[in-house]
Amino acid sequence: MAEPVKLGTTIMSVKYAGGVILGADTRTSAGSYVANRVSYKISKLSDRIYCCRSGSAADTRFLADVTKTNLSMHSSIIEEPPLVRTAARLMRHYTYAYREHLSAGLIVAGVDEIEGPKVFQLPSGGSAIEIPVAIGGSGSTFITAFVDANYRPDMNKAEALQFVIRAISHAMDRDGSSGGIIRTVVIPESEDEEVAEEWHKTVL
Amino acid sequence: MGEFSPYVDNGGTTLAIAGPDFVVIAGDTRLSTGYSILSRDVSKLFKYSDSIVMASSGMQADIAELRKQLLFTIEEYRVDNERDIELDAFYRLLATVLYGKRFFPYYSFNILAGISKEGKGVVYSYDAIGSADARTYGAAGSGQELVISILDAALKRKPDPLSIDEAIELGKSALKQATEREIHTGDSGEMYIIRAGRPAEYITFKLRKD
Repeated sequence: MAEPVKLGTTIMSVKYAGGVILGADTRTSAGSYVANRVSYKISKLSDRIYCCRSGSAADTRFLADVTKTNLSMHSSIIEEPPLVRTAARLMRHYTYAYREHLSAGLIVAGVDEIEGPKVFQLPSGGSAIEIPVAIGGSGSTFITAFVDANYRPDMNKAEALQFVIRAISHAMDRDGSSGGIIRTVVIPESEDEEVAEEWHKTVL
Repeated sequence: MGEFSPYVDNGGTTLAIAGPDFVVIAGDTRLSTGYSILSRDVSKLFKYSDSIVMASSGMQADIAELRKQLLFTIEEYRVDNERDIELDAFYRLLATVLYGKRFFPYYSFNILAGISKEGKGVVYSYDAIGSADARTYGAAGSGQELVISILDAALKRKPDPLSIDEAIELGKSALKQATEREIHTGDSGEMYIIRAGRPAEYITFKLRKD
């Protein structure tokens, strides 16, 4: 029997002095078959809020879609850009309600005018916590110590980006379900700077 | 006493290759269960329009039902919108229909091929519950791993865009190779060649029957 497609994955997001960075590998596996070597695990929820997806590809796709739609409607109603906290809350509503049926570990990160840069981890049980650096997916277990040892809250954009690339490289090196290339999204706090979506080769 | 399973795998392999303004989509025609062949002549391809063809492998019963659902819905679309459905809407429709049975899925591994609004060839590869990605090539079914390695090697970093004849030859050759090394694939092959602004062409070719 073939397996449904899972985002085996390493995902992470860090808050730096001036914004947030999201990073992910690009391997999608169906059992031991690599269904996609260059997948997009970072999805846009609004102009300045993105999410990283791990777990079932179909489940997290739909969660991201439904949250994006609800967030957009909410934003139209309040006539303001949405808060990161709101995006996390809207998504968490579904991950909690359907926690028996879904397989989804998500990270929601972005910037807003009221609270600034924020990273929220939404693990599969249906909770949501706000933390400065979040790691998720099967590959994250290999880099917990690395992240604890190397994260500094006062990093600038270049340092934080290197930190993310190095961390995911290490995870990809050890986790069979993570691989491919490293995609990053940099969301700066300042309105004058654009959101940057890039990809990088592993540094190992 | 074995536990009842609602699912059965009827085998077979499908593939699709997209080019700058065309896409080819192919499959074998063998229907099997376990080590037996049920038929040498069952199509895995379904043409929804001159610019949309879907290849499905997995369980023939679920595939038949899925096709019926899709046909009905695109007919409704045609009545409501007074035009045929386009590829990007069909892509989304299929994803939604599949996810609708998230907890008792259609055992159907689909590849959708067609021409986008910009006139480029596109291939979408789905899993059983509707997760899909746009790509330049894809393979599904029992010979998936064999075929995808051939396509990876042939299409990696090609400096010139693929010509339609190269794509046809590559598709045929990949299915032939899968037939050699995989017991559920064989008998005969079919292929649709889809180009913008023309009716889809259909060809068949022989595959080993052993």
